[in-house]
This record gives sequence, C-alpha cells and structure tokens, in this order.
Amino acid sequence: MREQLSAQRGPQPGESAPQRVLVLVVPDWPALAAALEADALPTAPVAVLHANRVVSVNAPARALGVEPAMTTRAARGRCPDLLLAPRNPDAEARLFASATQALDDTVARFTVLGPGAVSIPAASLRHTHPDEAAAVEHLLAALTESTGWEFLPGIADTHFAALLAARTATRVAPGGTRAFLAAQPTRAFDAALLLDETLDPQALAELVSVLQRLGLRTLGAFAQLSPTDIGTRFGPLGLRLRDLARGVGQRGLRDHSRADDLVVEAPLEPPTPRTDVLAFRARAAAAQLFDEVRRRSLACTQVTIRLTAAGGQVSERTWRLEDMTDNRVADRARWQAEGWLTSRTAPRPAATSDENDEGIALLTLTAAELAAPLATQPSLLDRGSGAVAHSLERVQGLFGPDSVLVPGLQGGRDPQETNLWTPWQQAPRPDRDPEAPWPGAIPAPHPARILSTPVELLDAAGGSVVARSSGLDSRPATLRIPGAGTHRIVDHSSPWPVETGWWEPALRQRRVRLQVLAEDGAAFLLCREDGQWRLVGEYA
Amino acid sequence: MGDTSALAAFERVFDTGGMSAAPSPLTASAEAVTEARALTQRLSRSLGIPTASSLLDQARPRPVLPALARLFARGGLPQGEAVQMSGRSALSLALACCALTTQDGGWCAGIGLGEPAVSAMQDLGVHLPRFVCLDTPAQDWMRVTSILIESFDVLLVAPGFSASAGERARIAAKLRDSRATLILLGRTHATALTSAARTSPSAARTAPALPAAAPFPGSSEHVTVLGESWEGTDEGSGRLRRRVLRVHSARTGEHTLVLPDPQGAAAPVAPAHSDVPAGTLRLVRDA
Repeated sequence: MREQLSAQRGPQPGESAPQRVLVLVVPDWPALAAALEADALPTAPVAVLHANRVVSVNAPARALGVEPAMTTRAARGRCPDLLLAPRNPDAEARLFASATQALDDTVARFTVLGPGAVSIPAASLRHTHPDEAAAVEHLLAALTESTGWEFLPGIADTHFAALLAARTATRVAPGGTRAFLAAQPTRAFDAALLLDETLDPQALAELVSVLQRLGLRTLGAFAQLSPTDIGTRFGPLGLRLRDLARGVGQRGLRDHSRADDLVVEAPLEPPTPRTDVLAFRARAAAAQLFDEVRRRSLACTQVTIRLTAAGGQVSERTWRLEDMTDNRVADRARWQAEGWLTSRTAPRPAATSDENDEGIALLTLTAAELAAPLATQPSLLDRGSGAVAHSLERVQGLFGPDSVLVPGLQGGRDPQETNLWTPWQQAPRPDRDPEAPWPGAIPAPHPARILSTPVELLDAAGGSVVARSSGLDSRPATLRIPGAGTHRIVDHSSPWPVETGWWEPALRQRRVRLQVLAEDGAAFLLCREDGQWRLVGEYA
Repeated sequence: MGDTSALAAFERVFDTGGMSAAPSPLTASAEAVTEARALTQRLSRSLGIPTASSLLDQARPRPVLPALARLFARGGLPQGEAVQMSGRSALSLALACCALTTQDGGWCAGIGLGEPAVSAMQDLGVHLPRFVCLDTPAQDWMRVTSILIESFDVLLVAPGFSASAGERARIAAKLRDSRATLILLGRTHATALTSAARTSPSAARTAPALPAAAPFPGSSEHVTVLGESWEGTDEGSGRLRRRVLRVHSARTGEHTLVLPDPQGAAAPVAPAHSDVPAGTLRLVRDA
C-alpha cells in the first residue's frame, strides 16, 4: 500500500518517480536448458562449458562441488558422471519460449531480458493485484504450473537492482534500492550485460577486475567516487556503471511483442513447381500477413518463408525487409523456390521421382521479427542506404539472390573457414563460433584472395614434398599450378600442423599449412590434406 | 574603363532577361558574356557541374589511409573518375584504398574479385557491413557496374573483358554524373590464376598476362605495383610478416609502402627506408 500512496503523491521535485520493476529469473538457466535438451533426469548433475570452462551448473552438480569457472578436467574430477554440454544459446532461447507464452496469457507488459530472465513493470500489475506480494505469488504459481521450472523473483526500483535482487529472491523496499546496491559486491556488475547488449563483456570483465584490485569491493564504494575521477580513468563505461551502482540512469527496454497468430499459411492446390504461380500466391499471403501486423500497429522487419514440397521436404529462409511490401516478399519467395527446386532436383534422377513429389504444396510466412514502427524508420543521416538496397535488389532480381554477398567473419582456422558470405538482406548464420578460441589459426597478415586448386609442390629432386606434424621431409623447390604455370620457390615458412576433431569423424581435421614465397615475389598459402597439396590462398 | 565593362559583363553572366537596361554595351563586353556563357554551359552539360560549390566538391578527393595518400595527386581517391591499378598486389592495395570510405559510412562493392578473404579485408580496415561482393557472371561486369554506379561510392572492378571505346565513354559519363569512384584492377598474372581455378585451364592459356587495358577516358590516376618483397620466412623457420611494395603512380612517381604489415594493415615505410621524394631525378649509372 505504501507505494500506492507514494505514487499518488507524485514525483518529488528533482527526482523521477521510482518505477518498480519485478524481475523473474530461472536460476542456472543454461544448465537447465542443457538438461532439458539432453532429456536428463532432474537429479542428474549437469554443467555447461564454454572454451573449456564451466559457465553454468545445476543444483545437483553444485552439491557435488562443481563450480563455475572450473576447467573441464577439474569438474570431471569432482564428479565423474557429470553431464557436460557445450553452450547452446539457440536452444536456451528456444526452450525459454514456453515461459514467454505463459506470460503472454498472464501479464500485460513484459520484456525478455535474455534466456532465463524476464522483467515486468510493477505498474502493469497494480490494476489486477492488491499488492506486490500477491502479484508475485500469482505469477510464480502460473509460471511454475505451465513450465515446471523454479523462478526466483526480485523487486526493486531499477532493472539492474531487481536483477540482483532476483538472485537471492529479495524484495527491496521502495527507496531502499540505493542501500541495497551499495552492499553488492563489485562482480555483480556482470548482470548489466543482460540489460544493455551494447556493453562489451570483455571490457566489463577487465574493469571489474581493476576495481577489485583497487580495493573497491562493493558497488557502494564505487558509487562514492566522483564522476570526474571515474570519467577520466574509465571512460563512458565507468560512468555508465556508476549510474547503475547509484540506482539511476534507467534505460527504457523494448517490450516483448506478441508473436502469436502472425503466421499465414497458403496451400497450393495442386502442388506446383512453377515459381510464378508461387509468387502470385505469396503476394496475397504477404498482404494478409502485413495487414495483421499493421492492425497491431507494429512493423515487420524480418519474415521467414517456409516452403513445403509435396514430398515433405522443407526449405526455410529468413529475409530482412526494408519496408513491408507484398511484392518484395513475392520476389523472395520466388528466388528461394528457384534456388531450392534446382538444387533439390539436381542430385535425384527424374525417373525415380514421383509425379506427386514434384512442386511446392504449402507456403508459410512467419513474421520473424517485429518492431515498433518508429524503430524501422530509416535515419536521415544514414545516407544512401535506400538507393543501395534498391540497386542491389535489382542485381539480385537479374542474377539470383546469391549473387550479392555481404562479408562476415566466423570461427575457423583457415581463411576459407573464417569467410562467411550471406546473401543481401538475409540474416547471417555462422556455422562456427567466432568467440571461441581457435588454436592453430593462421595469424595475420592473411592472404587477400581465397583459392582452392590442387597443386604439386616438388623438392629439388622432383619428388613431392611430404609434410608431417613434425615438419617437412624436404625443402620445396617448385610449385606447379595446373593451367597457370610453374613458380620457383625461394623460401617457405615453418609448417602449421592442425590435428583436431579426432574424436568425431565429421569434425576430423588433419592438415598441414605452409606459406611459400616464389622467386618473383608472389606468396601463396598451401595446405596438405590426405596426401594432396592444395593452393588455398594467394597473398595478392 | 576596360575594368568596369568586364565587371558588368560578369554580372550579367547569369542574367537571361533582356539587355534593355544595359548602358551602351561595348562589343568587348558582349564577347565576354558569350564566352562565360559557353564556359558555364560546358561545365554543366558535358562535365555535369551545375553550381560553383559542386565544382569545389568534385575537386575534394575521398580520404584514404595516411600511408596511401601520397600515391594520389590530390591525396585521395578522385570522385567521379576511374583509377586503374595493376600488378600482382593490386587487390590488397585497392581494398586498403576503400577502407576509410566504408568507415565513414560510404558503400563499396567488389565485382569480379573472385573470393577475397574477409579476415584480410577486416585487417586492412574495411568496415564489413558497408561492403558487398558481387558473384555475377564475368561477362556481365559492365551491366552490373552501370547498375551499382548510381548508388555506391567506390566500385572495385576486375573487368571480365575489356570494354569498347563507346562503352568506356558511357561508364565514364555515368561516373561523372554519380561522382562515384571506379577502381579498375588490371588483368595480371594473379587474376589469370583465379580464372584458371574457377573456370577451365584453357581460359588461362588463351589470356596470358594481358597488357594493361586501354586507358579509361577521364581517368588520371594509374597505379602500378612494380615489385614486392616479403620479410619474415627465415629459411623455413619463420612466417610471412610484412611486405614492402614498390608502387609507381603515373601522377606522383614512385613510392614504397608496407602492405600488409604484421597486423595485416597498410603502413608507411619507416623513415630510414624512405627514398628520395617523388619526381626527383636519380643517377642510375655512371657514364
């Protein structure tokens, strides 16, 4: 009742009205998600690993002494039958969707902070519940009933404080947020990563480590420093953290947009391999989808097109949209179908394929990403991106969607592995984690052009140069590139062997890389795998 | 009184109305008027410069990395013109030249480059979200270029075939109009190698290291890589560390620069190595 009174009094001059926030957290969500994914018993000890370190453990594993930041070997030593799972953000987000569905039915407004954490503005609960305690009780009952997971609630005046309070299931009294924060240890700053994705985790970890070594062990000690001192030493990140520690500087979070019903299915009867018919159907379906999106006063920025063949095969791609035009969706459906049908029919002989197996039977459009209409407005300062998109789409229309490629980086050891090309206006989908360590990767400077040509590398006697993990058997003298001449080799680097993935045949890599320098100044990157040298890069 | 009459003539350059109020127009001033009119018409019609400020804008080049600025006569990539680059390391050089444009929010596209290594592009300073690579048939490079010229700032093109004089003139006119920069990579040994790898060995044999293409109309800069020397391999015990390029520019003479340095970026040569300033005569051999 007290906060109702304070709300009626209105904000005091000079300070904004406290916005009470309720945060619900599933403790050890990565470990729980991994256990759900692996269908493990609730009593089985589970740990999630990233870069050979434990990042999350569930309660049974913790009882056996497994803790975060342990190495894999130490964790195994404590608990031999520990279930170890690699970090899987996709599965964490996907499994958490059942909680968001339950919340969709219960509360008016909420924000998913990240997999395993949601925040709900307490103001939205005030109309339906007599007080905070009753609201939390009702929500927890509803969530636990529908998901079966344990949720920890935390209530405070800022998102950051509520997130910290949720770790210990605490209700911070109105106005007591500052005192609550002051007692928190400095390493609690890592919770800020959930609230602001622009923060750099590495920089934050370094800053927290510096603060601890400076003897600033609590947030209160940090908040007492003058902003000038913090600004000159730690820059904007320090000032942002100071605001968080003082319980001010609340940033608005984007509300969760309901995604139910924003799916349009368009069956094609009879199934057709003709892409013009498909594009016609897609145009009507897209118009229907966009009508639905507009009725909710939202904008659709990504659409997923799913094509189902009569034989049951599925092609799914997510496309980014500059504006909501049904013609664009029709174009993309046509491109996707053309590319898919040609690649699908190629490996299979036409004689064995059934008559009914040909063609696409069902088109499904899903609004994959929804945003407030203001957020999708192109900026005045972002010069020329509309014209750029238009001309690139024209090229895509002429030569197919895969003719315009946006470069990106992913994890890998060789330059061709780290290349990630995504067709224009599609969401990039890296195969390998770029954040993970890649021991044995080729260091900078990198070759400028990627090639893939089988070549011969010969020694002075004319025999092929054999590479082992320990080194080269003989000194390379000649590089013969089929169809493009012969180079005399004057120097070469020490070879880099890579031997990894021996525990799984699909991941197995055993190769030796070598840089060679030709007489005329050209430098090449070679790779020997399965007894064959290949030219994989040119330092152009 | 010659001064005042000339001044009056300049005041009337943009005056399209009747000349009834003109006080006793001398024949000389009338001549000056027609001359100035002819000049403005030539500027606006054939060179696409409608206003005086755009004349100044056109003279301002696109910024390039400090290490590369000396290569160009105006200290950067000229706008609305083509730049030719040839030699083996032209690809790295061209990518390094468009790094600052992408960092400033400009758009760059690569046409017919084969598959560049993204890690090398990032090391050279290219802002990846502002770069697109086109994987279109080699014979269609002209068509793709003319589509993209309208909206992109810098185009990196390795031409699939050499264009006719008429086509070159048309591209040059479009360039002037859009004020984009076209970097043409010369067909050299390196690109012949790519085509061999991608198509068939016979294609490479029929086109062995073509001489530099005919000069592009309106292109003044022509950069050629004369030689390159790598450091760091150490007889099989080290690895490639840095490369010193000897580059010749038709406008500014000969330069040396480090591309890539051990971090993969472009750098000037350390002062101890720097040779005589461009354009200085050098004694080659004693008589």
